Amino acid sequence: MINLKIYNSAAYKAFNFFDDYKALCTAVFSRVQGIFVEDNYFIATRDYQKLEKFAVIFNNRLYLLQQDEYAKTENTILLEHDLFIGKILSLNETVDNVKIAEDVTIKFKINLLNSEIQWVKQFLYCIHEHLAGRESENKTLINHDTIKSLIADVIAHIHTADALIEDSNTGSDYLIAISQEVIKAVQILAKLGGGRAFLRGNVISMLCLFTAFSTVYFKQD
Amino acid sequence: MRTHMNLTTALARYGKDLMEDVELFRRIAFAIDKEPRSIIDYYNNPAISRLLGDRNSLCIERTQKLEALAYGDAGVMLACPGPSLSGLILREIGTPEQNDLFFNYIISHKAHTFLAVTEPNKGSDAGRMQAVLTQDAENPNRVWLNGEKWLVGNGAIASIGIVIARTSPGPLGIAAVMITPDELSQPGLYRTTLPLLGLRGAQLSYLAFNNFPVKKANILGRHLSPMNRGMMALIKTFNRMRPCVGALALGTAQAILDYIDLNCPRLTKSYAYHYARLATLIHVTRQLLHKAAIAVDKNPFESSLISLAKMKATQTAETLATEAFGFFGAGAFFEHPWLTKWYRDVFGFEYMEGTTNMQKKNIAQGYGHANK
Repeated sequence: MINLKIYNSAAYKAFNFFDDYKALCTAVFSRVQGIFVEDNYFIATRDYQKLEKFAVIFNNRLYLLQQDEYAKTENTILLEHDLFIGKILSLNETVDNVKIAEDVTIKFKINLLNSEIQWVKQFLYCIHEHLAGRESENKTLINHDTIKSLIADVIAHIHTADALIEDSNTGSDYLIAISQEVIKAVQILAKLGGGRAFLRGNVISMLCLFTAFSTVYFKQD
Repeated sequence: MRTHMNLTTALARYGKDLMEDVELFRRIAFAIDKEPRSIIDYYNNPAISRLLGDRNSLCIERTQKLEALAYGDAGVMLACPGPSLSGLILREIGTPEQNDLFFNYIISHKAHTFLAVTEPNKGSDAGRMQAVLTQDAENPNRVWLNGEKWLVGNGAIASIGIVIARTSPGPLGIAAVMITPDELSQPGLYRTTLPLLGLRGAQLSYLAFNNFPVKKANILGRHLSPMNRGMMALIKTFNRMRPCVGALALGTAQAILDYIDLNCPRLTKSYAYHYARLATLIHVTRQLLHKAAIAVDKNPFESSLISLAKMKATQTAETLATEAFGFFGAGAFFEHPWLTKWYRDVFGFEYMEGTTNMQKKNIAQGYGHANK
């Protein structure tokens, strides 16, 4: 009945992280999907819930996790992306003949942050294009100094995150810093997007999901 | 779902008269979040009836009450029937007959209402509004409404509401027209709710009017000058509502703080410091909001102070929701569904009755005027 354009930009694509996260998890091994566990918690795609057992990596060791060895909760923020959050109750079955390199977890985390950054860049592009087509007080929104300042802030956070990733320093403090830069960029994008940013599949959805990942995988002690 | 309310402190803060309503709102928060229309199941509760009849409250009274109800749950508050924003504009410029029609209908039907201002292509910039009211060439008592509105709270489910549209170009050509229940059933209107992640009770909606007939007598403020019934009425209405939006944010922030107090397993010295800082932030935000609400009751054009209070309340709620996770560690998203619900909700306050960027303009302009 309606063909409502959320943004005046052909580049707009509603935010959904399912495919990104599935690809990230698949990339861990060549043939099976792996889930990373941090502090007993993990985020996985919902199709894992159907599996009798699946591989998890915890403290650089590989385990096979059975259904009764974890609890899961329905979290609206994650459900939007067909993801769920799980909590390990026990870990029994190790897979001793598979060696997990120490940097596998770090690679997973960096790839996760890279995927987040790609979404931020895409939304920045489309919000920029949208603001260039809207007018207020006799000039396009993109030409208002306050808007320029906010866009510059988003760009600065993205570049900082990119620079930290390129730095190849894989300490947990670095990863936490990158995650925080991404979240700061999204927080500013939320102000730039206006009310449409609050619609599902938009900037606030992105902020909520990235905060969930940050809470589970990039938490300060 | 446990309510996680400290009843003793909540009672001391909000008073006995409101506690029953606060507790109900907290208890049904997740049910309304899942299905906002299930608010109908609670229509017989006195808490709902108490929201329907408000037609003469002061801004400071609304601010205090809304903080308490949002402490229960802001989403439930927004899902409830009642006059809301449209009631304020009716009170501002409606004739006694229009007021009676509107408020009596709400009370007798437990009706939801809407105020449609924002447009998909022009936002809330009243100067550029595209929705138009045009005179019917044959019927002097009828006008035609054409245009689109969106991000309208309860717009798709309300049975009475108000649309802001143009009658002519320029700042004097802005009018508010009441859409009555019988008119809403006519052809020429398409409306639907928009998908939300947070504050789902608000049921933000899209409305498209296509040669939609409206009674000319339902244009509000025809007894007033074009200036007083158009832009000025909107400014006054938003100013009277902004402290109330701030109160929704503040109530949510206070709920988060009390949740931390009740549930945080590690209020060590450093965490106690953070907790105290957040408590101070809430305290000062409440002071600013009350000051702004009292000011707007005296002068509805007191935009600067009101914008400051609304901005501060929004920031405070966002700060509380964001920093709360730090108290609970990696398990926050798993173990604390209330925190994740509030996190989804708090970012909505930014977009209600003006964003922070817009409020900042008012704050700076007010400072400039004060120094002239």
